[in-house]
Amino acid sequence: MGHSLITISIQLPDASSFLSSETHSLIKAVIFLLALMTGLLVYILISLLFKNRRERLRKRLSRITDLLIQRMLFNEDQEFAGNLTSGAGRFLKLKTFRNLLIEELVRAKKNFSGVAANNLQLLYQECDLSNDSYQKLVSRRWYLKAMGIQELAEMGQNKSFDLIFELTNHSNEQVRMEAQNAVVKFSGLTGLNFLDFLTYPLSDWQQIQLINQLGDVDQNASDYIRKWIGSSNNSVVIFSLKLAARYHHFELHDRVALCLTHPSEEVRYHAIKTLKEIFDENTSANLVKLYDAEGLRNQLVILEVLQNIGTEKELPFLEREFTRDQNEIRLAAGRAIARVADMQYLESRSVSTEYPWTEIIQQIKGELRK
Amino acid sequence: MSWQTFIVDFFTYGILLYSVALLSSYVFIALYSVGITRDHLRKNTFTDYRILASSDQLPGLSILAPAYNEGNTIIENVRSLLSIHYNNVELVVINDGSKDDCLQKLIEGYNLYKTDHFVNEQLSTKKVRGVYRSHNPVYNKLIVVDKENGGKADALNVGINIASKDYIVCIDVDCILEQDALLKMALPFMEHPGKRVIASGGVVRIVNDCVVKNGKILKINLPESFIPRMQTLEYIRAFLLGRMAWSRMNGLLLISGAFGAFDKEIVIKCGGYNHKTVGEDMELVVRMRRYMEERKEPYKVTYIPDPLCWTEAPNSFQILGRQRNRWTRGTIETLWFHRKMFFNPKYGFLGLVSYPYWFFFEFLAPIIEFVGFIALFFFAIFGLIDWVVFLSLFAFILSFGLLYSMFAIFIEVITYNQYNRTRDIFKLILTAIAEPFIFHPFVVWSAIKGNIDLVQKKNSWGEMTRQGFAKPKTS
Repeated sequence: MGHSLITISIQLPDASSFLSSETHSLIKAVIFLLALMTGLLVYILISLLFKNRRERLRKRLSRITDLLIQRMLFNEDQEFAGNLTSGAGRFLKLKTFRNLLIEELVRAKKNFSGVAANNLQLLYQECDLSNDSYQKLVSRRWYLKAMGIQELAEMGQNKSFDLIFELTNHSNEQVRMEAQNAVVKFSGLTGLNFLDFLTYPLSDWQQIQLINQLGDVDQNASDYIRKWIGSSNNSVVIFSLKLAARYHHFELHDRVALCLTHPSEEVRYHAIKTLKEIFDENTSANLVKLYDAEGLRNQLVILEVLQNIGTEKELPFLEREFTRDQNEIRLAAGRAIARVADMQYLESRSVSTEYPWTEIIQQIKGELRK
Repeated sequence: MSWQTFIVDFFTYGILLYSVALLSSYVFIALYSVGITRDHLRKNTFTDYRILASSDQLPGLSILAPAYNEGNTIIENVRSLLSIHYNNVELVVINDGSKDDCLQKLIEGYNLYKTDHFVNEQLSTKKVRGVYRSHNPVYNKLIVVDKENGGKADALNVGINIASKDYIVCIDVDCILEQDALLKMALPFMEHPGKRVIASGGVVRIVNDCVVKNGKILKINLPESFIPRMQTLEYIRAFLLGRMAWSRMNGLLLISGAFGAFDKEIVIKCGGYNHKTVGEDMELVVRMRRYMEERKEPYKVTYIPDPLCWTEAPNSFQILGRQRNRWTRGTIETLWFHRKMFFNPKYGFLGLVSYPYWFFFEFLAPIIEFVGFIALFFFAIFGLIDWVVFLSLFAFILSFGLLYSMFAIFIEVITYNQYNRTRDIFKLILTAIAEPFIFHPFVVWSAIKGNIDLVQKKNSWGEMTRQGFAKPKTS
């Protein structure tokens, strides 16, 4: 913190009349700051007290929620939930307890499936906690809305689907993400229909979450994916390409290959990566044709893909790249040659005794040994 | 108006304007930081890091840890770094020509062998003597590089040349990272479609007097000694208020050298770390931003308020002085290298706000303050001071500084609440009260020495002596 204001007083020895009123104001300002400080100190201490007390209360209550959840998890008697919740009746009147119970149920539900997961859902219903979640869903505060969505989805409240689906293109990113995750959790691939009208981009993180929610996808998915690959939203195209690669939809090869001419470099990058998973006999040749027009990042990914799907037909091209002036390209092309042909073939190239090719070859040798 | 009056008025009102601007910026930063920290905490409750941890689309990270004469602690430090939760990662330890047995200890401790590794010299560096890997598959993420001594920036550049992943995480090898630090650090790179995240920083906290076992923090304590405790308060202010506010404005110029993640492609395109400055961490961020601005590519530098990295703070005025001296030189060098951006509209917010802020309020502040102290001394001798005015102003500034510190403590309590005992809060407030009389004058003096050293072209790094961490008590 600078104390440079002290210099002002030094410079005004003959201006005391001006400063006398200023001094008065300064003293007032100091008193104001001291009052603010005192207020802040009290607020800090109260906050600390409440925060620590709340923590202790949560710890106490969490013993009860843990007990409820544990007893419910492995229970097979349908009426047991009712008995259990009537026993916890007085606690259920506490908002803190209800919120904590929902939080614990959501956390536990993520770790269980089958009967145990159904039992947790039953406990949620018996305690009438869905009302709490609905109240959050209609809240104007984004974090409450997002929390409500998460709770309803995790607890399988299918009747909230329509309400939540409307939020899949919400202006708040977190609300939108939770809504998208929720609809996919409810209905799997068909939940992804929001991609038809999504105007916001899907972040890489959201794509990971959606893929995680999807789990296994049946073969009919290719019709949906084909539609989304044609989307005007580039992030939707990229997500669709990832789906095509993940679920090995070979029937989409031609549609994916069309993306090699997409105006977005990022889309082309993902199309190249996808073709590694769903290639046919023409893929390598198509990638080689594309190669010269691409930037370094896409060139490197093409060489990486050729390591896996390249054939002897691509060897002349790979040899040309092996002698290029960029070391990353040389290394990637060398790796591809070693895989497509063999190590001996690579070592027999004319440059193989020169720097840096000798070192590159040694490294590739070491990698193959591993 | 006589020329004497003109000079006095110019000086008086100039300094007044400067002070008002400085204090206003503090108020703005304090208030502006609250929103982003609150939103981060709320968003964090929705993030399931297990999904990220298990994803095969996790961005690849290369941790770069330069080591110089760290033989006493290197085995433990590397073990701690290898235990971090993250799948797609490699740890590159760069032995920067240590004079001790650092390399030998690594070879023996991790069963290393010299491998044929092609070093792609995208950045020119001192000579690499060898690249080592472990025979033990448990340590397959570990790469040790032995090189000629060239300083931290040079060591990091070697690490960049060796790194095979898309993002690099530069850390001090003796830092302690939280187990989920890399997951949290990776997330911002995946969250901003349409904008390239070129760098991301995490909050660094002071580990002095915390209980540490096997490279993990078992109990967080407020440092007992004054100097580290003062730095704890300083770090809370700087990270929770300053950097969060600048991050929200997308105007951050500094990511701590102790823990920062960078987009490797952009780092290489910018030429890597600059070994001509002792402020290589700040200089890299400024150069990366400048690079993106000049190419008019949308980008972002993010910051995470979660405490992710713990470091030992200097515990003596001697070592603290060296550190602050170096920080000052680093700041001035960086500002000098990039002087083209000063109030240059071509660089947008960076040129019109971030750079001038650092120039006026980080570089000039200690100089102006020091000149003020000297003037105060002489005017006091010649009886030219109106003491009532002086004391009123002094009380105002002290109160303002204390209020700012208390606000930072308040934000800490309502967010991470790591020092959650009432006596810790009072200790922090007492530390804040003592700061202007003990700590602050020393920091200003160290900054002045940094300026003098720079003029005299002294560019030493300054040795940092570590005391080691507190071990858990055994009964």
